[in-house]
Amino acid sequence: MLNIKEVKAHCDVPCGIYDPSAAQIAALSVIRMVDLMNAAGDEHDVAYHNDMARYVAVKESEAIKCKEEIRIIWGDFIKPPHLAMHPDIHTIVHNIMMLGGAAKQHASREKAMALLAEVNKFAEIFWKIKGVETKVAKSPYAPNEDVVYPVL
Amino acid sequence: MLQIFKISGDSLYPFYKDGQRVICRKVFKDTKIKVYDTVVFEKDAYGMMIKRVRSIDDNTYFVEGTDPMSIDSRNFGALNLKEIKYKVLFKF
Repeated sequence: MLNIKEVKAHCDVPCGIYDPSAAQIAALSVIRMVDLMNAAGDEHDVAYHNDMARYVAVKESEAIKCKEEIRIIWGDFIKPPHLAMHPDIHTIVHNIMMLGGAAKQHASREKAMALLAEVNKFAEIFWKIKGVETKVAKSPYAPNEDVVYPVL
Repeated sequence: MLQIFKISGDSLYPFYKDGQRVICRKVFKDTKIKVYDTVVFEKDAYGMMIKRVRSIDDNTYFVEGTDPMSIDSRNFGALNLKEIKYKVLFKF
């Protein structure tokens, strides 16, 4: 009897560490920044301008981080067989790129929520490819929105 | 001597797919290996790997995957014959 051994046909630096959670946290951070901007205090107070500048800067950087994290998984991890099984990945990623841009351009909670929704769709597909079940739960911190988590 | 391997990864897609199995024959000093043969070899940092021979030069074998990000001779250089353990006969 022949025993079956595994042989590697891997790509990229063989660390294999890909995880959409960083993109999900970044999308949540964008929503949180919009919420904080909407709750900011008296615009005649100098502290208001300090806070607002910080919220805008963080919103900008988190939206960029969200796009970058998704781009890396999409470009480095997703392979043609995955595309055959999940042909909507390209559309989802393109939506994330556009909504990430919109999150920077606007202070719209609706647009920020749309970004999180698309990142969650991407995360669900990612974990399906990895053979890991997922669940949807509220983030245990503000903005307490729905996030797709792996069931480990 | 025959050996069955299960492929892990898609660097040889579409010729070989993740999870596919291959039957291989052990390579000896007198084994003929040609360009476009698929071979199994061992690299310290990576373990047992499978790639296709793209060119042969001075008894060294330059192996590549089909994926642009494949880890292969573009990373660790050409192989000597003694590093090649098996030659793929067919897949199933």
